[in-house]
Amino acid sequence: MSLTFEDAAASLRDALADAGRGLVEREAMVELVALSAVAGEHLLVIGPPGTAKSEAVRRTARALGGSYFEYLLGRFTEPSEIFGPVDLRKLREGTVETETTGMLPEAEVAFLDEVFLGSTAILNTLLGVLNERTFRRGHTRMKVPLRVCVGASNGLPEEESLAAFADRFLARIFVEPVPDPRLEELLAGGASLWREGEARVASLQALDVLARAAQESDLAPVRPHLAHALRTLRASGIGLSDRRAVKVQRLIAAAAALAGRRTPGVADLWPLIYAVPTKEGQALAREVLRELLAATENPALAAAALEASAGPLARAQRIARAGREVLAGRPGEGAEELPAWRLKLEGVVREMDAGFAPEALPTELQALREEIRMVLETDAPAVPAAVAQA
Amino acid sequence: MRLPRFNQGRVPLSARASSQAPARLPVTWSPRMEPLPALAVAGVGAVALALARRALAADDARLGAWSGVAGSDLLVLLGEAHSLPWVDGAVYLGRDGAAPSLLLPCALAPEVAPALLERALVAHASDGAPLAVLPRSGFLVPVGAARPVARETLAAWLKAAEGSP
Repeated sequence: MSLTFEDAAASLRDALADAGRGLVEREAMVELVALSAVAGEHLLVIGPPGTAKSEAVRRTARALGGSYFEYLLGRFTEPSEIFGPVDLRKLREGTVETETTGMLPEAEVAFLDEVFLGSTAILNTLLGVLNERTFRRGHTRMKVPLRVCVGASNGLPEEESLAAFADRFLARIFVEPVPDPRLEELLAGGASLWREGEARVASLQALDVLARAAQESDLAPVRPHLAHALRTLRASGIGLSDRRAVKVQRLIAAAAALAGRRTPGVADLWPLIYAVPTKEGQALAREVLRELLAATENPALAAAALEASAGPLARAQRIARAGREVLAGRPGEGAEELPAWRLKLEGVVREMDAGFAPEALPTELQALREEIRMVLETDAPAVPAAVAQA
Repeated sequence: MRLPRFNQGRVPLSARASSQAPARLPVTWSPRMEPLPALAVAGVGAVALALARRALAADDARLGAWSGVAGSDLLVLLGEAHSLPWVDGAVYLGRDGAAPSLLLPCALAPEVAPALLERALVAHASDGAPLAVLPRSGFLVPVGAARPVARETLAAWLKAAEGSP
């Protein structure tokens, strides 16, 4: 049965929402894996160990519904550990073939941790896989089904040869440990991950429908805006190679497709930030493109769009999504969790009131705010009697 | 803007009173593209009372994490963004790097250079900085002398405020 564009976008949106649940401060990363998969590009995640990078990729791979390969590379990792062992039967016949079953060449989503520690042999083979989606080793030549490869590292490589390899990862995200105020959420979210619930799963077919829509989308209307953004970046000294500038159009088209739009517009320019290769460059790019990115919105990739743009529409989408989730998680009457739930609801309306002047509160949030206000005010916690009489 | 006259006898949480004459500034405000991180919450009139009731309903750990300033018609609580209480109508305040002596509404930006606004307001405030600025209600509140919130003192302030006409 063929899947419509709208159904594909909706199914991926639902699957991503489930994949990001419980992952504190990693929602944007989950979304960027999906964005890169739809764009047919690769993602590099830079951040310290123990920051749930692999968990985020694993959950996204599950949400996308493809086969998944994950490996932690080291200096002594053999190519066979990544690509598969040499087929001994074929070797007796004089040909060097690789037995790729269950290995990277057969994966649709791949995660390579400490990717820059790979040997020259591994990285050279990887180049072909990443660039041309072709696996070449010995006599083996095969097209690989890889939709996205996520590489992770503690930092960007300084050696020129590795920098060239790193450049194959068009999108980059820099992750930090979860900040202090969100530690409670981290602990609760981490614990919830152990209890594996029913997560919605899209399908590779949905991914492919969106990828095709992205490839066929008309970028002409958005191109002048992208050119303006690139000129602004150049004027600010932010280096973006011509190749990256051209390829970022794929991310923009994919962002539009994931948002359910066939024609990318100004609202879809935000992936440009993730194509800026350094952390400092991304921070500066956010500043200088702030006005241009104010129109950013993407219901499927709300966290990534918000992190890139800091725009009000993207912010409203993220708050609305979080608010609806909290509202839906109401514990039963008299449950011990009720006070904690109320505090979460207060957190949602606090974010609305701190984030938007009343007259600038987007329509989507106005109704949600009213709903939460009613809940909070109908069963407000009582002031302890002893204190009230003080 | 006018400075609230704090009733010192009933305001054990508060900063010192100020009775300076109103200073008028033709400042307009517009929604901020990116809000300031919240550092304080303020309520005026009925919202101040609701804020005090909400604060008193908090547990000791949360209450102890706030410091506050109270006036005859307003309450300002300072604390970490994620811990600040919410009541309908409360205004959240944060610090703009360009005017570090002011606490400005998180969601509003002045249409004058923040540094100029800061200089003008600080010059008018005899109680010194930092100052919480509440443009919609017209209050300018010195918060430098904020004290940790004690349940009994806040309850006493609420009782007195509820009793006042």
